[in-house]
Amino acid sequence: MSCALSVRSLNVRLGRRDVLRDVSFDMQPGEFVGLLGPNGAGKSTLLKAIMGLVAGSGNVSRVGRRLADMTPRQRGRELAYLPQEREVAWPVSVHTLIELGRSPHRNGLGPPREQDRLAVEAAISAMDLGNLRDRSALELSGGERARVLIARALAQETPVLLTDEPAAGLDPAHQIALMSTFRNLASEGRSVLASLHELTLAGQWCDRVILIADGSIVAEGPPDAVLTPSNLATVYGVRAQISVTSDGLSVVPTGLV
Amino acid sequence: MTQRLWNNAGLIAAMVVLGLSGGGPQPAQANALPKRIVSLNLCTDQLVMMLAGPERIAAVSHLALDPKLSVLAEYAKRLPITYGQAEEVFLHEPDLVVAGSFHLNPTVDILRRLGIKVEEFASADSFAGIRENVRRMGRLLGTQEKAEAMLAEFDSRLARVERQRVARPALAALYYANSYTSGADTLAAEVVERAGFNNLGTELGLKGTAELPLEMLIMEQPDLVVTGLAYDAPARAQEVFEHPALAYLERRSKNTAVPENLWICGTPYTARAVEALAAVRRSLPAETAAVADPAGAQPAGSPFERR
Amino acid sequence: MKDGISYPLLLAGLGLATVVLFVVSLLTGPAGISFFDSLEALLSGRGGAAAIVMQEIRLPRAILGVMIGASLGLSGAALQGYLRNPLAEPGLLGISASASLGAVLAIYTGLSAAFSLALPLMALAGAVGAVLLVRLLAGRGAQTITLILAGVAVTSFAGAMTSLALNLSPNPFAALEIVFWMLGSLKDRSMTHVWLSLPFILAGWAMLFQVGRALDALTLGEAAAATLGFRLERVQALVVLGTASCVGAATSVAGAVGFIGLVVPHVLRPLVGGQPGRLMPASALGGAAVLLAADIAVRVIAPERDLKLGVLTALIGAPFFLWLIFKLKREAA
Repeated sequence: MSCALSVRSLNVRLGRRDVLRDVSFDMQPGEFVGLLGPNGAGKSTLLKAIMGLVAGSGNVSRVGRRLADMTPRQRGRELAYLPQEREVAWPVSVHTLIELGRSPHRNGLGPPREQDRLAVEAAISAMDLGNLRDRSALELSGGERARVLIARALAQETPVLLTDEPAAGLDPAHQIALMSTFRNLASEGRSVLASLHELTLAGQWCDRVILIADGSIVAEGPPDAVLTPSNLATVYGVRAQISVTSDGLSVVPTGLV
Repeated sequence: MTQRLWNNAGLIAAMVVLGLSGGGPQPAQANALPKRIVSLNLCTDQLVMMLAGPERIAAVSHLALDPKLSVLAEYAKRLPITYGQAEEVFLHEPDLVVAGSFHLNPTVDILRRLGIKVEEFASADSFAGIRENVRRMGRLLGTQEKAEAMLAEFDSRLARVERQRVARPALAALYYANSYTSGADTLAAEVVERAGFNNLGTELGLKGTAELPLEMLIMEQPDLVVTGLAYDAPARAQEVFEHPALAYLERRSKNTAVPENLWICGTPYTARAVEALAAVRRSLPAETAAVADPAGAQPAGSPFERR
Repeated sequence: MKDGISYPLLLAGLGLATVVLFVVSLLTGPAGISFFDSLEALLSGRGGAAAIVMQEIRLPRAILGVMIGASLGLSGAALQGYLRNPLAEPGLLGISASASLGAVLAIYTGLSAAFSLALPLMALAGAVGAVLLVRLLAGRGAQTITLILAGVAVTSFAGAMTSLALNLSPNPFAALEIVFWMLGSLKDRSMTHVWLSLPFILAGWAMLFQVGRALDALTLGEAAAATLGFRLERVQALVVLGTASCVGAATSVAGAVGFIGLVVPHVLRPLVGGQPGRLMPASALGGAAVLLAADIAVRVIAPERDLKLGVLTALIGAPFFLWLIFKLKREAA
């Protein structure tokens, strides 16, 4: 069985705390999976551990190959990662920034090739950045910067995309556009794992949802199976109004438990 | 007048008291010859050692022991030395202190405030200056006859060199560490000139101790290059002596080193430096390049224009 | 904002400036050799004294101006890119001061007289030592302020040890040496200095030029850069050792020349659209041009006095900081 991403027994200890305990799950090609959980549950750590940015025990592999056995460049062509911190150090142009996503594909010297150019253009149009391409990345608004950084990850053209709170700071229209983009990527056969706080977005757009609390997976499955009143109360400590609309599952927190 | 010996704490207390009282022990009587002389300066060391017997010398400076710098280093070995600190000097109970004249000399100030007679000597930058210093030291020490005898010998040596001088001066360059030379108004320049050379530093319009760029040294191609002696402890300043460009000069110029101790201080011994260089002059061909090399003419207004 | 002016044009312009200044440097000096005589003496080797002056005094000086200026500019750009801080420079991390200390120890223990490579090697050791010490003091992933403080500590310590060594030296020229090491100079350097420092400088450049792409990726932060296929430990090693190598060798020849590694990349950054990878070659050329210009200026402004290179670069640096302050105030207003 060729899983797009296979995580087995991932344990991460930071300092004296066990941040992730024995986390295991699979992702298939064409799946858009939402990673949910309260603050401090370990969502960011899980994504970093999969990318090899924090040390952990366990096994992560892609279509049967262990990630640990790959070179960083090979990993960069298989998985793209969008950190939560939207750091941009220099006033480079938007176009240049997006082009950085092509790094794992480009050899050391030499100008960008045709496929690099096309990937960048596709990413620009997917994130609606055409009119911003020559602007300095440091002059953008928070939401614009978020879209540019996502475009970078898109330009990387990897089968798997991991992203940490990508919808934070985006206006509703751009949030929906973002979810739509992820959906499109999934329908192309890629896999997307996104950690989200926006429960309704997860409910409406994700094929599957993984709910994490205290470093362990509490529930996993289709959104309506996971986002139940009892799970929401136990994990988040909230009461919510859950309804099924024509657009999908709607989850609106209404009060504390 | 004798003083009681004080330990350090007592010395400090004494200085405070004396400073406040503005007075102190009475200076030596004007007509009594000094019997306990302390010299604080390399050059005054030499003069004192030449003109006074060891029983009258209470101490000389530690530099007097360095044979590279001091002609009378052997003699100095028999004498007590100081490192120029007021405390040390005070403990020798001097009735006369001789020192070099520098702008800032806190040691001399303290000694004067303690009521000690201090005579400062400017370093001789000409032969006239040598004669003046020797005579003055002779007066101070009461050994005028000896001073005059030394100067008589000094003059006769110089006269002999003058008689044997080759008519046409050759070109000599003095070249020290960090590319320095002695220009006009220096003792070294006068030594070189009396020995039968033109001094490149003076020719280039430099005054005092000044920088002589290596390029100029190469372009002028002097007949003689006089280098300073190397010190034991290496320094980057001496790297210039290993510059490959100097190898070129060595093929064309004679190179000599005159013992530093003969002319770092202006004393009657300086005549020997003149004699040594005059001997070198005689060893060079009589017809030498003493005129400027037209190809090396400097643009007008250049600081290195030939005067 | 467009990606700066055309990049090839920028490099060509800086390259041309460097070449022109190189030629002017060859023609500058107290010996008034005419233009054509200079070139003939340099190229043909005929012309007696003039040829010696050109080949043994002026040529090495000009070559070293290029090598050292390029090293300072390049390493400044690399450090700023790696630390993601536009105020970083080799001197900040104590590299120049420690290289000076290594060089002074090599001279004063007599090692450099016994074994000529000892001087650049010990300067290099000093530079690497500084880097390791700063890393030790500041720790991994340190805040900028911590890193700067660690660098200040290392610089102060190295400076104090250098002064001590010179103070204790029996050689009377020792006190003046401090001036050389603190202010830098290219006076009377020879081809020997060129050959001794060349391997280390080239090695440093080879290491630094490899990190251009990685520094570009670091624009996105360390996490993203790591996932884009770059080994960050290797990048750090190349940046640190590359800087130590070329700046260490440069310092061993010319003493500590400040400000170029800070000002040149900072000023050129807008012209390359902020990209660290593009900034490095531009900064190397810019640094070479600025150092050559400063070295020409010291010979032209006060030829009879031994004006130090560092004085001129400081005269560039001080107004630069003033300009920075005004710019920041304007942006904050």
